Amino acid sequence: MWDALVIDPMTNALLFLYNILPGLAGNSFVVAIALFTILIRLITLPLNLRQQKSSMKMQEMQPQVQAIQKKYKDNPQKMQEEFKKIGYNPTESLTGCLPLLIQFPILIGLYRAIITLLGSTPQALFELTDRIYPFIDELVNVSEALPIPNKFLWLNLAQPDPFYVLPVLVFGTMFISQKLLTPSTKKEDGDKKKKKQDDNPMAGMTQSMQYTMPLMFGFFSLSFPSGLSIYFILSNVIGIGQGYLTRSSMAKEKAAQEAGEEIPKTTGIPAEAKVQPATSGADGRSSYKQPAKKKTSKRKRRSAKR
Amino acid sequence: MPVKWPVIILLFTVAFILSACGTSVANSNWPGMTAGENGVVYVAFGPGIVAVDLNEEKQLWVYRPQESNNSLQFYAAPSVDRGQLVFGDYGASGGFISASVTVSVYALEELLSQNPVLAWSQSQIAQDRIIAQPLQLEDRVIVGTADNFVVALANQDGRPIWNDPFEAGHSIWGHPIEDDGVIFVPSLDKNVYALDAETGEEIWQSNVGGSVSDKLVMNGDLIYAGSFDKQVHALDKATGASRWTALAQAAVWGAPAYADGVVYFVDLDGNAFAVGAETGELRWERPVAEYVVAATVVDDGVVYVAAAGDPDIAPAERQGTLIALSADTGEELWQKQMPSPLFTTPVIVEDSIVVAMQNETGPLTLEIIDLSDPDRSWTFVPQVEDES
Repeated sequence: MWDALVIDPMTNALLFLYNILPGLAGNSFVVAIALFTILIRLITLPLNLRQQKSSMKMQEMQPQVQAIQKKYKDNPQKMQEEFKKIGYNPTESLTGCLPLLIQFPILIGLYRAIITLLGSTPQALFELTDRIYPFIDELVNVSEALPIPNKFLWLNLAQPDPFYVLPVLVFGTMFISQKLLTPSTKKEDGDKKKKKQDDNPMAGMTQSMQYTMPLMFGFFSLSFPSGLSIYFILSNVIGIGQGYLTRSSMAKEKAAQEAGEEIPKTTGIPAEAKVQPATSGADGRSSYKQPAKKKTSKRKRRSAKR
Repeated sequence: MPVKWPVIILLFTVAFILSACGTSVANSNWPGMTAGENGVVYVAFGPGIVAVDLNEEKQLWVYRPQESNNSLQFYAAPSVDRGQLVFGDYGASGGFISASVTVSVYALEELLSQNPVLAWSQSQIAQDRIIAQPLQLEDRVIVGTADNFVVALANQDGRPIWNDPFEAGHSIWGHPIEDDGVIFVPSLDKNVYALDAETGEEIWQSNVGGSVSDKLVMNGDLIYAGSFDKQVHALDKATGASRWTALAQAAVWGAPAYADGVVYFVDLDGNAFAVGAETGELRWERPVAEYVVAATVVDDGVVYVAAAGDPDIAPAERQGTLIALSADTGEELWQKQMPSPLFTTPVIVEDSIVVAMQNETGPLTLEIIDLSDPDRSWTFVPQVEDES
């Protein structure tokens, strides 16, 4: 089932792309991997955007969430009500993981598809001929197209990079990509930072993911085929661009929101009605101020003006 | 426990699962078999090389490098000449955090004893598997590698002889051949190369339109190459120019065979052909089997075809077939069902034909069939647990 649902479609898609694309440095398989990466990123784009936005939003809400949790630890019902008021949905953090979970079958499938397509042994090449769909066989002259050239620059695409350039690039690009997903924080001294992480497990988790994920994937790339490392790098580069755009769009939204908050000041809306940002006390702990309704109706504004 | 630890453990568990994927595809193959003198066959069967004396019906030895720790794989057919057996392995990873792969070529001597002696091994010539059967010449061994190189090693000590190895555009899976100081090498890059045996310099290259995955065959001034472009090509030995091509119905994976002015070959779909060796004119053609990747064997007026069987049946349940055809007419003389698919090229040993089988889970099995009476056959299952 795994083969039929994931590996075979990917193998055939890559083979088709390989045959319709021009070569780059004598190897159009790398171009096929690049195009395939873009296609995968496009397919998962809505989920990725949602995850990025949700992740940033959740982290920004953490101080408020913690304060509510602390305040209403003995009253779960009230806690849920307060969560609702600030627009926090605990299940959203779980659905935010969905793109990450979707990535794993893609990674496993692509790993197997690259190895299968590069047919590095007679048996692997023979098994590949069994996997090709009849219509792809008709579109592509398979017997002349196979086996796919395995060399690209200094790399054997079916083997790990012997000079460790790709693992370093995988680590670097993934680190930047993860960094863009994490809201920027002011520099804090070690104790304060640790204390904050203890108080805010999600921030700690994000912090550790920021280093663990790139290290882990860089580590994989030491033993993975170069073709897969190229996929990781391209995917990360696209992720960096996507992360940058999401970040700037959220910054703009935030600026617009803050600018919008200036209006009530001048219109005489009571201070209690304003959205209260979370604040940090002298001890570094977050404290929570009950937020008011975020939106003021037009009718209310009009009456305030009067 | 802090929340971040479960995440790290989860990620490393996923990493472990990921790293386990695909290894069965990457590093396995079907056995490689060679016939030696005195009725002995040598088979590369995965974890080692086994020598079986068919006359005595006994296993002579199993060779596994001491340092291999069962991680090394051997599938390339060994080459045996002048009392020396040369073969390569599929490589060992340099370790969990290393990208390097160590691939070695070995030379064994005292082959008919209980304990063969390792004359030399060479681990500096390749980064990818040895799939091709090496070629032994008087003072050197020619080795084609899956990382596209052709190297010459001294048969005394295994040191490289050429200043630089020859590099093709893709892997070398087929056994090179030699004539009058020139080596002819097939490659998956769709070329056949002629190299100077002394220096490794290219003399000519000839594009045959498709990959050549098995050995070349030579007769007179012609070289025959079965190609993935659904043709067999006859090339001029001196220049590499195409003299004729014979069309098949599917890719020609296994090497053709030559006998008495005729070239015999079978395509991947199991269609057998006989064409004139000088002109390529068709003598006969016949569908005989399904899925043939083994080279065609011809002996004493009989063409032998080893078939892998019905592709719609799962490999573990698939049966192979050995088919004997009249070399003159293509008429089927007999056929024998085998319990596993036949991918390995059969070898003729005195009055018998030997086929090697090894499915995904089963042991290596040799079937020895009496050529004078195909109903008389016996099976030998080497005891591969024995280590030298």
